[in-house]
Amino acid sequence: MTRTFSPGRWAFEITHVLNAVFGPDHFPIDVPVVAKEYTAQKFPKDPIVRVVGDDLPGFDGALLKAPAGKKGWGIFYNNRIRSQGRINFTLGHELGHYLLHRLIYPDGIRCSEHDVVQWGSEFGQVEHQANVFAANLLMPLDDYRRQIVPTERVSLDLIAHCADRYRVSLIAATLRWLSYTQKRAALVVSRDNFILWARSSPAALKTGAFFRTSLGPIEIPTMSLAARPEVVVAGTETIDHDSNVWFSEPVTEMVVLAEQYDFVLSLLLLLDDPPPFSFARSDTAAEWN
Amino acid sequence: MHTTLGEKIYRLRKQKGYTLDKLAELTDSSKSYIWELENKKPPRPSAEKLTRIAHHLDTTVEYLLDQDETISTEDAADTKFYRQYRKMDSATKAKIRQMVKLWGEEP
Repeated sequence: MTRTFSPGRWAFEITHVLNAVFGPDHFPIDVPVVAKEYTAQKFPKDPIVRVVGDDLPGFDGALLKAPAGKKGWGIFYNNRIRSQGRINFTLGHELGHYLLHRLIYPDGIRCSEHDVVQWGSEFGQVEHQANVFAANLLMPLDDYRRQIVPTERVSLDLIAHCADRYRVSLIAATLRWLSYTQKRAALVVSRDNFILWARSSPAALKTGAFFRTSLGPIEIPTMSLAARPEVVVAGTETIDHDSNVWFSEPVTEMVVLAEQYDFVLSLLLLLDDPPPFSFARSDTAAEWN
Repeated sequence: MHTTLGEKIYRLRKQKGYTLDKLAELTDSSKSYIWELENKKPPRPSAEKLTRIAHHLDTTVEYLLDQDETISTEDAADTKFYRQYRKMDSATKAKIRQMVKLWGEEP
């Protein structure tokens, strides 16, 4: 029978099993063990039988069918990637492909580094679903909400604690937090002072605090920390900006320099309520002159 | 290395120690145009601009555009579903094939 669960539903099914077996405090999730044990129980004729890491430059991971004459599937991944969090997310992603897509792609699926780094930007529906599954599996919302309640103002330390707890990258942990927080906040990933991609929390999105990167390159503000890496000590820094730096309102910017990938993360925290009425930025006003 | 046009320009520019501003100025382009070439893969970059960029980065347009993607029949079969696969290092591809071949006997 073909099961047509959503990515979130599949993750919940596994979370449910893990809760029953290990109790609610079962983090970080050991994806290779879960992948093999769960699929052996659930799909004994077609399980994941191998999870193998090796030095595979330019590659993240793949879900591949066993060669002719052998049973099941294998997950292969690059174990020389420096971030354990990214490896873990890749493994979750490949398990997602197995549960969601192996019947549609009977030979398997390979994923490049590019796709995972750009989680949140443009990529195919299939990759997106595997990422949603991985995020839900590795960072279940009920547990995440216990770590950071939806009304709480975060710090980088708090998000870094969650990234550690779930063994995911800082970006993955931040995106997950942004998906449920009631705070107005946005993550901006930039390179050479232009925005590569950005993601706003629902409350920020509804109140106009977002960046429309699809319309062409957006330069980050010259006063932002992201544009002044020379003032960032030890790779991270927090600053309170006045109005009209990132937005027409004051913003707290927490910046992390991710040198190994040549990009800069800025987590922007805004006021709970947007300014009641404002003529936005001075450059808009200039159009009237 | 799987290097696209944008990645090549980015790497060569960094090697020369040029900022976006500098390369833009040298090639009579806007800064955002160079950034877009490097990061967003615009569909049809102008040949004239590429010639200037190649000149100032001490390379050739041929080098910048060569995607190293002469597709063998073997690859064509492999890539059916694998969007990014062709860009992968051929040594990595070979190694993955080998790993699958040596699948090993699992209970």
